[in-house]
Amino acid sequence: MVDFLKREDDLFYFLQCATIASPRDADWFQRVKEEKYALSRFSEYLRFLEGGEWFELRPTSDGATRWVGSVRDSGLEFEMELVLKDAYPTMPPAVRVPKLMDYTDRKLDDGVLGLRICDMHMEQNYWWDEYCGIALYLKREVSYWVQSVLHDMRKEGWLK
Amino acid sequence: MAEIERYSRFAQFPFADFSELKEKRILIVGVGGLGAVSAEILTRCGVGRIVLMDYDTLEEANLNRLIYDTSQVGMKKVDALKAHLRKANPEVSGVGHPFDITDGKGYDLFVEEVGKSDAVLGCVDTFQVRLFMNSQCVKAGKPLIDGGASTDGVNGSVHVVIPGKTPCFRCNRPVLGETAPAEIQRPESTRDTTGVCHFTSLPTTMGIISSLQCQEALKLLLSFGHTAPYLMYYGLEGVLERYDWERDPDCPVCGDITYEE
Repeated sequence: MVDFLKREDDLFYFLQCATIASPRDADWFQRVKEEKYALSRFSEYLRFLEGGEWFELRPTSDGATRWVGSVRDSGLEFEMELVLKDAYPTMPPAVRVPKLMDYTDRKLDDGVLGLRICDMHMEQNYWWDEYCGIALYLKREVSYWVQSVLHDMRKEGWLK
Repeated sequence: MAEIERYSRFAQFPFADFSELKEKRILIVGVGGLGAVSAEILTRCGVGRIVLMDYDTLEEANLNRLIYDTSQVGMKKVDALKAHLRKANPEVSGVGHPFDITDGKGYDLFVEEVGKSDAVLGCVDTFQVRLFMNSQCVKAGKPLIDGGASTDGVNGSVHVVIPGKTPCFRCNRPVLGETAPAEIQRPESTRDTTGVCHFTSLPTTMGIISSLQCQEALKLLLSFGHTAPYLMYYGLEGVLERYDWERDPDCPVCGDITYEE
């Protein structure tokens, strides 16, 4: 399996959720509580070790299946949308960073968001399971996606 | 055309009775390069009912592969394919659901259709949807025959998940196909460095992989031959490898499932 990922000195364990529930399940709101707790722990960790968090995210619906916020990198800030579909958490969230979608091939068609970011590590390392949540997805996929897209944009001269 | 004449080339097939296909129901998820070809093959074989699920609309970029024609650009893929299949074999009943299977109405329909189907063909291009299909098929005890092609378009694989009997999509990952036979030197994946998520798609590889999917589906539906749990096709070398890998007893999806005949 992917033991090397789980042994790495990162947040893997304390950012996981304990409850497996989809937005259609009775336990969903317990899961949402755990998601929010993991996000706050992640923010706390980033503030303590890196001097500040690079994301902001909040649910926009009562069911907490849609979230909006922003992602920051190199002094730039971009809006971000996140959707937890009915198949969550069997499958990971879908995320869109609208202003960056036109500048990259790192995107995929999505039935709800139209286009979403490509989860580059997921398929190669198979790290996702139902205990993983939004916080880990931000750390493992969104962060990497934004950094690599900005890197490509600078290389192409689209961004100074 | 008389039914007997349409299927006359199956009559002498020594391993199974193709007329049994009339009673079978197949769900095909994703009707792009793989799914559309698989649907045509199974329609021509006489599978009684074929259910198609895909939310996507046909674009010109899809036309390098098989089945669809230029006049259908802009149509929902399931509608375009249904029209084609009706012409290919009007005796087969086709149903199309233009929805995302992971959310809302599509989710409900997918769960319902998995329960009613004899087998599910996974023909999608995203890892996330594979995770979901695998989980639902294992839960419902229905076989999943998943096909996929590599990002460079020349290699492909077919994974047959018989819940409780063969490894599911979750068992023994990362993908066993990453380990090619010793004599084959596969290039490193370039995905992380180039970031290309709109992959190359070759009609040849798609035709090969969808045919292999259908072959495995027919073996399952008609109970002949030996199911191949995992087939890996290496297009540059012209090699087809069969892997009889083991289930993971600790697999969180299928670890506690027991196979029932």
